[in-house]
Amino acid sequence: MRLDSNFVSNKINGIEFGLLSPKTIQKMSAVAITSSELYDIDGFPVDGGLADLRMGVTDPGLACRTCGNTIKDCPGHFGHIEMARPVFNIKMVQHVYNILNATCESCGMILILEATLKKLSENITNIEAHEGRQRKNKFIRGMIKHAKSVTICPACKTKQHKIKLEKPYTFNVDGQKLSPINVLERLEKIKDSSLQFLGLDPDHSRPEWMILTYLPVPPVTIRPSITLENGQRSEDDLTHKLTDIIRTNQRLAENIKSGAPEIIIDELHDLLQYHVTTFISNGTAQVPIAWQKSGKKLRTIEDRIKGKEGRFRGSVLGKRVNYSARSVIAPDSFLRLDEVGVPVRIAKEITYPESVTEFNIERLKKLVKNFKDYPGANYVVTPDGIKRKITESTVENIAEELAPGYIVERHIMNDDIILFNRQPSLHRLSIMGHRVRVLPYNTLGINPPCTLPYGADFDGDEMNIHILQNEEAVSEADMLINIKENIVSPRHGQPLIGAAQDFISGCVILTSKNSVFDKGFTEFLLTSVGIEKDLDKEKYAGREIFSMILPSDLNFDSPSSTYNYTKDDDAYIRIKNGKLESGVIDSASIGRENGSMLQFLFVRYGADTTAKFIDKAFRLSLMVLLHFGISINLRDFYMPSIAYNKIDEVINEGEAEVNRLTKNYDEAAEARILSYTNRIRGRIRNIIDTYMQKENNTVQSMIITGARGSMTNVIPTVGAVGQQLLRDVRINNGYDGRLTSHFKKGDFGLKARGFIISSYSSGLNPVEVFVHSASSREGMMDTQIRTPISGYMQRRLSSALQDLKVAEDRSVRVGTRIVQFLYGEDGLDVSLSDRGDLKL
Amino acid sequence: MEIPKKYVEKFNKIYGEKANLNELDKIYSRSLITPGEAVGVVAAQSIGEASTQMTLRTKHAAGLTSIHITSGLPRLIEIFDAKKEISTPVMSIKLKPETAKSKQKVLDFANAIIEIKVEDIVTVYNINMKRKAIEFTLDRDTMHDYGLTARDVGSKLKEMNVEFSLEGDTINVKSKTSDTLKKLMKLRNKISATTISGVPGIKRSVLNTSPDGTFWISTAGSNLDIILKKEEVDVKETTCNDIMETAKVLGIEAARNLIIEESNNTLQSVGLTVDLRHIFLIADAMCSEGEVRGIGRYGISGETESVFARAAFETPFKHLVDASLNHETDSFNFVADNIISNQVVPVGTGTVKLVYRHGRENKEETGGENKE
Repeated sequence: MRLDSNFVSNKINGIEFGLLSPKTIQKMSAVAITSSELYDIDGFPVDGGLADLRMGVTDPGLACRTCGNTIKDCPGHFGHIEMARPVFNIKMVQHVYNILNATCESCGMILILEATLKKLSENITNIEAHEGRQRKNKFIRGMIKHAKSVTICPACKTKQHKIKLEKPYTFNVDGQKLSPINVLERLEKIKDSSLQFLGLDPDHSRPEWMILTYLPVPPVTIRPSITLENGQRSEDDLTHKLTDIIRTNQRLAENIKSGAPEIIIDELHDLLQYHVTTFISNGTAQVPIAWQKSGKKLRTIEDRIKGKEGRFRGSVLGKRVNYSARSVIAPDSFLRLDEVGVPVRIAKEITYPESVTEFNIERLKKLVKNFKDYPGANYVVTPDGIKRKITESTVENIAEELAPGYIVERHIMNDDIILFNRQPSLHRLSIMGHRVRVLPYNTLGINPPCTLPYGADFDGDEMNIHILQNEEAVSEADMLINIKENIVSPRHGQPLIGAAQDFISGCVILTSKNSVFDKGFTEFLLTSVGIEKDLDKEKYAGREIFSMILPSDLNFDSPSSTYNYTKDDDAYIRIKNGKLESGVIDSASIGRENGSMLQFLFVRYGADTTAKFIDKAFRLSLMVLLHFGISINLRDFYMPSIAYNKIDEVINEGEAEVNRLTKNYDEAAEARILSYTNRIRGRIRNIIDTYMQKENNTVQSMIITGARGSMTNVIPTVGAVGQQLLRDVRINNGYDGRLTSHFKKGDFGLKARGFIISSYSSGLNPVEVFVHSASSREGMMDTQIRTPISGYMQRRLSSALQDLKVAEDRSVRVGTRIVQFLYGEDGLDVSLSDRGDLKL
Repeated sequence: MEIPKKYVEKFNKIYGEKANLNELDKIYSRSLITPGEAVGVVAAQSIGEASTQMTLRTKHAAGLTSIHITSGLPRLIEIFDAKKEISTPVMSIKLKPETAKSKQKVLDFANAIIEIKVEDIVTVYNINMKRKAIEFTLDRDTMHDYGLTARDVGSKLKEMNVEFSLEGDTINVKSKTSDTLKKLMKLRNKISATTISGVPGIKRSVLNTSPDGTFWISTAGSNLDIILKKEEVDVKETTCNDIMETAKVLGIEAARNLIIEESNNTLQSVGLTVDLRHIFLIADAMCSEGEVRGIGRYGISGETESVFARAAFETPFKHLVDASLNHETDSFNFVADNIISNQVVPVGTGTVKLVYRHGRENKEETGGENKE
């Protein structure tokens, strides 16, 4: 049967959990395993062995003897082993222990006064109905704890003997060992009516089912044997363990039958218990670990399920996928904001299944015929679900045959919507929808303004693309997670996609007070953003040109970064009816993470307008920069010698002050010194601020406009690098009582504790290099350690909050339980409002 | 949707009382959250992504008088874990106006609440096996500083039901029950840890001046319960950074507000902006069951209804075994279980259910025509 992926005809409504009773195990078993042999001399599976064909097949060509299917369709069938003596299931031991001690050893009632039971039963139902399952379990745990302390059965007045659990799986009563057989007998005695107080269910989890009398044998499909190159078979770890169990079980059965001495039987019983225990879990405390011959730990059932690479986290919550590609990324400013440059080689390899209709049949036929080149197609799926590769020999037939109802797996083409992703995928903006632009390179192209949400740079980063495989996915990617729709981050309501560095500098040049361009250059700029216009003036102001890409009804007022710094009224942004009347467009309006204008546009004019504006503004900016350019120069860091003298003075003063403070050196003095070093830094900053050239200084202008850098980068470059800290204190370790041998013992002065008086431009002396590297190493270690810690916190947060969603009435609920009556107390979406507020 | 009052008021303030609210309604509706939005995941990611940029090491605020507080990522984790014992409990104690104005009174109060244990005022303690007694030598100077006398110590010891005698600077303690060395040592430890004066848990207190010239106290160590019962204390303004303690003393709503305030301050102190809505949501999820639950295995995640969601998070075997014994049913109404079974998750666009009744007619026909 072929599943039609387009229709969901059945849905899982629920899965019940319960214990397998011995009866169920036998009933679901396809074969009783009796032989430890796997294959006969001819290499054919032995009947009743662990590779019995009734449990499914792993070899291609053989058919399953239960369902008749071959390897592809046979789901596998359980077998069973009848235990010669019952054994404990290691995962149930603790529960068995609790139950034994909470029930009467002679009448099997729970050790609680019968009169209170009815009330308790009501309580349990109530708690489950109103407070949930977890509270009920907690309540039951409390009851069991109470029952365990009762010494005389309230029902039959028998005195109870305390049963002790000797880990891992030995039960003792008054020093006498209680064998699984005895335990089984006691568990069987427990009345159905008592079960609900133990948290059990008479139909689905009888306590005696916790003891294994029959062992289910997993189908061969989950423990496939592999054939090595030399023709030898290599069996799965589980098969090996099962062989051990069968052998031991057989020997035990034989010994019991022949009436061997008790001690031998007990010993074999223990061995069987050990094998069954390690079959389930190979890592229980106090149980010796079972090893493979090669020296590796046997990977048994629990190992397969738990942990990051286990079944849950590794196989069903996250899977490997097809239709994806990965390559190094490269910047390409000529891509649109929402485009991604896809290499032809990738475009030819991965495909999109396009259904043939009467409207596209001609186009798709052409693609099929062009299968060798780009754009073409690789496969065709016929209406009865057969996938056919297009080759030299089949192309004619397929092209001829093509009709509505067929699906053509064609190469990806321009304007297809695909997903673009960079790991670590820390937030939803790490995977967004982009439009394809097929390009003749080997790298994936990305427009630099889009890098921030991905956290990408171009020092060798690789990114992944995923090609969506149906219309529903494509439309969701286009309308919900398209990069255009995610310009504004849901984290703080600020645009993550915006200008940085060159883009800001370009815009600043374009829109600063005195920038005027002649007709020719204006024409060049306008055509670069696709504006065709008859120019009637000889000269155009930069702000006039910029106004042309603004929506004509835009009214926007905001301080620019330049205004914040210089308080120059001309730099204050005023946009009236789409005309930039004054103001410098810089990082405060279009920058990443603070571009107020982008956010304003996004909320009021929508994603498309904003994306178009960003594209045009940044293109303009680049074109301006292409012609004017900016560069920095040593002169940008020039200060008159008086400034250096002043810095020296500050440092000398600082040294004197610190020396004064160290006279009475104690903790308090150290704290004062530490805060004093901050003051030195502040004073140096002021000197630099005063003396550094303001006019025609590219570095300064980049800092002021927010394009790149800040004063914290300038201070160590021209002033002094300053105090180096290690574990939040001045560096003090090294030699006995001193940092290095360059200092005297008992010198707590500025330099002797890691203050760097040199600047990067003057160069550091050896001691300074030493302390500087010690301090930066700490910073690097910190980042290394932090990543897994914050990663785990995020995993826990996600897992705790993953089911919260907004209901129709804007309340937040988990299932039916309400968490918030109105999301965020006002129902606003952070990214659709003005940073979580309404600007009126 | 009804427009929240704060926006109506803001609107009226700008455009006058009689302004047409339709305009506001348009703006409000435009900014509303979409039903079905997986706000929990958005909140988790917003905090989680921001936290990768936080520092691990806590930075000391420079200066002498300030009290060290855990900050950055460790503090954030501590808050979300709902730890019973936090690493640096602190309180800020505001006093009623009549006390707060006088520096001396505030200083007296600040000194009075510091917990002084027997061990703080004892220089030497010996166990004299011959006499089966413990000898404590008192430090007179320290005692004087704290304003304590040997009699104060004596009255405390009386409460503990032990025999003792005072000889100069030495207190000899005898006990009828304690005769072995082990027992005597136990008794000695018990006595040294006894509070003589002050509030248990308050380790240090520092006087602060507010801008309006009044004084307030910040302390290292906390004991909200007792401090709030003190007469001089302004109950409304006094806070403590211990969430579990606040929940116990002031209730769940106070705890929720504290979670919001503490996590927001922690994020802001490292210069990260995260919208308050996300923090609200986490705080509400932690407090929605009437008691503060952490976000980990023993908190919210361990208590989800869905068996698969719990098993997928941590310790799968434990959850599967427990579910089997209790005969639980996973109802597939959650995210994790639907991912596991390859079904559409019930959030976002998956919230909407459309059923297409597929007739028994030819399958071929449905290929292109079922799109209306």
